Amino acid sequence: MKVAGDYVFDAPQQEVWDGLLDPEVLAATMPGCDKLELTGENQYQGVLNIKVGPVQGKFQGKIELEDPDPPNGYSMKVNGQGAPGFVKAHAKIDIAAEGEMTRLTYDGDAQVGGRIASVGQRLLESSAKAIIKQSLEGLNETLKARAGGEEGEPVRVDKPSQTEFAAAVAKEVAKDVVPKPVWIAIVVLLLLLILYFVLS
Amino acid sequence: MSHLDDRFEHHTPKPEGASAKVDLVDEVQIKTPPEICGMGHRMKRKEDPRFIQGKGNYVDDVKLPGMLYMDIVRSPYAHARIVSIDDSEALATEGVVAVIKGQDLEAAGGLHWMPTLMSDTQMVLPIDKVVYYAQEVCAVVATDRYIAADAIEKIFVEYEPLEPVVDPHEAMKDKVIVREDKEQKTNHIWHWEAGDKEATDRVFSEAAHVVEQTMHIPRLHVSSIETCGMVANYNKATEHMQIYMTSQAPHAHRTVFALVSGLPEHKIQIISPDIGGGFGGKVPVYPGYVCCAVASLVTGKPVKWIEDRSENLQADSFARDYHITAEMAADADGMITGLRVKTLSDCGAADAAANPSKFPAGLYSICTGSYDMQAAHIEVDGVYTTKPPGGVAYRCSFRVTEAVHMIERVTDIMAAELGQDPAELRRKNFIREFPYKSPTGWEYDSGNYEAALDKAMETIGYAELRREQAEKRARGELMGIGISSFTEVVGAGPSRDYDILGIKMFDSAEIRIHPTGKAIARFGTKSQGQGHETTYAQIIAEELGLPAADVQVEEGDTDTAPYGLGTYASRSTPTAGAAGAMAARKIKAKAKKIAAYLLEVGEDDLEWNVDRFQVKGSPEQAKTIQDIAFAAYTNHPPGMEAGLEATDYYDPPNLTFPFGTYICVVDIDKGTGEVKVRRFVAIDDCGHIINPMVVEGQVHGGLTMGLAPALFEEIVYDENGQNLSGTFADYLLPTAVESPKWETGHTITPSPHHPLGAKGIGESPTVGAPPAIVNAVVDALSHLGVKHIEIPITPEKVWKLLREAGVTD
Repeated sequence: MKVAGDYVFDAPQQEVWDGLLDPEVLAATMPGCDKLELTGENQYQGVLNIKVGPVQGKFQGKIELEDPDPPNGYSMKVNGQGAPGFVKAHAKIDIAAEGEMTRLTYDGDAQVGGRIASVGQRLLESSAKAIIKQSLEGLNETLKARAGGEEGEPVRVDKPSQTEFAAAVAKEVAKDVVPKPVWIAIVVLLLLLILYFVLS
Repeated sequence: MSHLDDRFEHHTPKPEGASAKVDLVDEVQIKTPPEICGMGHRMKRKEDPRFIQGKGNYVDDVKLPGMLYMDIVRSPYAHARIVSIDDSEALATEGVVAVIKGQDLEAAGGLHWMPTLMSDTQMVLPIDKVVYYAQEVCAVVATDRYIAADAIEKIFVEYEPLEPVVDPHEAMKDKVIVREDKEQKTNHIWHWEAGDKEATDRVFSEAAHVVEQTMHIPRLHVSSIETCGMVANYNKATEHMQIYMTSQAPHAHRTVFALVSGLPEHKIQIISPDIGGGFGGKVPVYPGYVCCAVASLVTGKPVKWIEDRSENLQADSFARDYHITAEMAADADGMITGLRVKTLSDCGAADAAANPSKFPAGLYSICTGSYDMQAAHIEVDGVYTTKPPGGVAYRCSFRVTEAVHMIERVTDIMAAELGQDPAELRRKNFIREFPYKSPTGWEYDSGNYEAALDKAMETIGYAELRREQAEKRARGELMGIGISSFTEVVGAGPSRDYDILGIKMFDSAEIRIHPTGKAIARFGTKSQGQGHETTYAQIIAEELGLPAADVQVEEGDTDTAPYGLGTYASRSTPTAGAAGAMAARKIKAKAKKIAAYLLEVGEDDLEWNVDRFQVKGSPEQAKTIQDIAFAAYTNHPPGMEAGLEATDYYDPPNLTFPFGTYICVVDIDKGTGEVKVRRFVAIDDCGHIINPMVVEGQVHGGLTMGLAPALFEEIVYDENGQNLSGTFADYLLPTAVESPKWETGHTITPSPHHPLGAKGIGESPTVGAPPAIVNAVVDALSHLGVKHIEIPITPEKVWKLLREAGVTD
């Protein structure tokens, strides 16, 4: 499975770099992340609760950073195993300043197996996209809050709830399946229908 | 007689277009009155009232006091070493009774390996490595089904992934060895040949026309509505093991269990209760069964194991998966002269096919089909891959589906090469004289292929359809007509050639008539929905004149039923049905003696009349079978044993060769590539018909199961050996919505060697339908240069072809 995309942060490059490498910040922003610890130089270990379609369960994972080039980017190796299956991924992360903002580009290849792949495969790509997107959005919020808050004050960011995560997955699925104009037409039609029922 | 009316379906459709031109034998013979209901009557199935009221008794309905539940941890990798299994958290969970691992089975006497039906070996639970995705790794036994399911998530298995090998052609290169346990470090399992190579090569060198086509018959799953399961109940005090099991062959399974476990056979009772579809998938022994039996042995308590749908789809034996290269030769006049076939059989991680021992590629060499040709040569190679083991005969007689698909496709390709109508090429090349000795060694018992073809063509209006097609093609519309004139080979089989693990493939019947003229009949087969309780009763009614309603048919309990090899490969009527007729004839011989004694005449003065022996020339002097049964217990002749019962073990002299012609009309949507089956006419010939309604039911179900692989079903693996078809959302089954209206009909060409002149029917439609559909689709696209399409023919495949041809954008 190919996972690629980009995201623009409202924060300077160095702050984005620091945030991405801070396990506490990441653990707080990633949906389903129960635990993320630094276990050695450039090595992290964590527990991720993943739900893909009807399959859910805990993954024990190891993340290893390779060729870190602060603050421009790094490569990342992920190895996760759990009751619902396994994930093995390799990704390249590029971080570049764009004026006041910072653009993060990711390009990875993930091998997913086990029940999560065979039962949840239709939703796998959408779920992966949703997890990445929500993690990055959460990080962006954290960085913005940090910038706005007082020095030393702990920053609290609410992790997305199960429902919000499910909604994000649904959105990703809809994006893949239905072209945008059709999507808008459906929404308009639904609104009209609701209006019709309310009026009658 | 009103009470009888409910037992019949009155609507007896006469097939349309019955021909005056050909002398069709299609009248079903009826010799008994409706109240006796022998052969030919449309008797409603005796088993249906309990099925349609939800009162069947399936394995999962069995609930025993103190029963434990088992669930299975399965491998997420297609190929991996097992580094460690940590079951401490699971064992610490309240309600978890035991975790069974490969080491435990090894300690219990080497039970971590088991033999397959093809005399290969298969892991029950692995010790060092797993060789397919969803392979059983260990089993959890708990007091509750939910606790067991939760506990498997608490078992942590550390794997070291190994490179998988998914493609059988790659596997033949031996870069990755699947079975490191074998002495020979190769994935190649066996090579098998049939026919005459030299003669075939000669025919090809002299041929005016040669066509060649590669094709893949993809992995399929039987997808029976009931998954597999077991309740094992070991009594430590009596040392008796009672097993309820989804088994198509309970006697053979008991023998295998006894040989593998060392438990004495008389202490094992296998009961195969109602079964919700087998289709070959309940012939093999799966690791889950062994684990469940061991769990009960260890705990001394009843243990239930029922697969869920995904486990069933991912780990149980698959069917098909033949990679075929076929060549056909013809002379300048369009007479087919030879067939040359090379095939790679992807066996998965063990050769766990369910073929007779001497036939590693099953009855695949029947692939010269309905056509008379000079020579044929078939080669098949079996190869291991890191995929689930299997190769079951999915509603077919051991690889006949693959054979028929190949010959019916290649015949169409030859017709295109010769510029001939596919119906006429078939007619020209049909076998006409029976018995027929085929170039691969089969002796076809009987056939009348042209009658079936004519009837199918008349019923569907073939000439008119060709005209319509030409008009539509001129307008740019896509319509196709496809024909399949198949020959099946069923009813294994004669003991000189057919055995499973050495046990000869006879089958058996035991009939016991009670004093009041009612009867119980037990058989060595096991119905999974085929309607044996009805058809076997009708056979006995036909032979003895006992009303079919008075005959109770029982199967599936190894403690009571006579030994038999079970139900698959359309063998029940050809073997056990014949045994039923033969046992009834033994009873009739004794009944005649009793009648002679009661009527005080000589046996030679008696003649049989439907349900009685009567004195020749004075029919009012008669004793009915009921009179005789009563006398057998109350007034039997001096010196004769009391009672009226008989057993027969029937060893068929040959297989039976049912056949038919199917014609299919499809319309293709140019925009989406969707194939719509507009009409489908199926003319079958299974010899004498026992119950036309049961036959029609079999044909309807079988045709739907033939539509499935043609257009929908395929087990898909990714390059890592991950099963991507683990649910019914991904493994597409046709429903009533996708199925056309099946138009069925028959001709009757009795088998000369079967006591009732009957042949098997349950599998003909599954075997014959797919090529008719594929031929129709290819026919619709032939003017665009399309010669072949691999199944399943998804809208995507058709749409791509249409785009390439510039028909759609």
